Amino acid sequence: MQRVLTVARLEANKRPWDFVKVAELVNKKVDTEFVWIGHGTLLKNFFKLGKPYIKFAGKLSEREKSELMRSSNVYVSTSEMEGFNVTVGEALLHELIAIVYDLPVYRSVYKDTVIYVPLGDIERMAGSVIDSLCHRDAYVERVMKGKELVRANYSSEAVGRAVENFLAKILMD
Amino acid sequence: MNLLMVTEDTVYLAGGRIEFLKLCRALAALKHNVTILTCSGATEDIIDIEPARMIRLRIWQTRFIGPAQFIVKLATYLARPSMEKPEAVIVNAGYAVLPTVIVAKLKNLKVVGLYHDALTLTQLLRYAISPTRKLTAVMRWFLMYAPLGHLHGVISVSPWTTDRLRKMAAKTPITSVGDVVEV
Repeated sequence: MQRVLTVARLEANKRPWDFVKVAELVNKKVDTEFVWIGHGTLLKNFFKLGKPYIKFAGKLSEREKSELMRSSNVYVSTSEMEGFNVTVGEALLHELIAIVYDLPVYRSVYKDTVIYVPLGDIERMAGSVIDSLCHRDAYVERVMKGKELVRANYSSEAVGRAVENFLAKILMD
Repeated sequence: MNLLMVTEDTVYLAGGRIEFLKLCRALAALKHNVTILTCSGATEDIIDIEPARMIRLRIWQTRFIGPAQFIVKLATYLARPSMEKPEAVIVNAGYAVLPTVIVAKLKNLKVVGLYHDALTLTQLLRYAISPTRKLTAVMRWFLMYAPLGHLHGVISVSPWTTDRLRKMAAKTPITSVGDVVEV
């Protein structure tokens, strides 16, 4: 079975109900497991969904998260508010197709390497998930471009050096 | 550089906090002397921070009491005369910003903030579903964004966040560096 994954705190601004609705729509056409990694104040609301194809995994270690990402096919983010969203970058490094709500921050960080869906458009997101699951080859180039973008700009060394340079400037003043 | 990096921790894992710890590790890997000052919380045993070192102040992780306890313990720790003076303090956006800025001013330390987003109070209140959560949101917003103009610099994680932060603190030097993304 193919797997769609998200990693986020279970809070209202991450729109977990959208995730559940997308999972329902997708599973009408393609058998797919939907997994949400992350804890939060809303976790208790999702314990008894009664949908065997939706799993709320709670808090996992970085290693466990990485292992799940490695064995998934598509990454979705239903979040409506982000400053960067590092998990999208991690998904690209794992060569997952990333589908996100169209937030201005993503355009400046991930550019055209992810698939954008208008905020709150559950049908469009479900459609994009189904297309990604069924036609993976059509997205390979985009994903590999994303992987390169993340490696070049957001590696430990690249970000560390940028902070180092900024601090040096501040300390000289 | 001798860097002190301060962040809150809570019972829930938050991406921004994990990213802050990854940045600490990245700076330590670049041969800086990095000490992380935080409190007990969800990041314990979740992420390897070596070669940075960490001091965790023990607190009760409950609403209001936990943050208040951390603020007091943090301010006391930073104010100790015996504390080795770092070249810069980097504080992660959260309720640790205001106490860190106040003590740093008194001790003449340079403080830089790391901001993952730039939210208005209205935006924060939109997600607060109860009166106590609304109160928490107001306190959090004040502790996090009110000191922006008193920081020596701000590190932002995206150009979008930078633009919004500039509107909140026009005179503070701001740079956009992104987050550390590794698997």
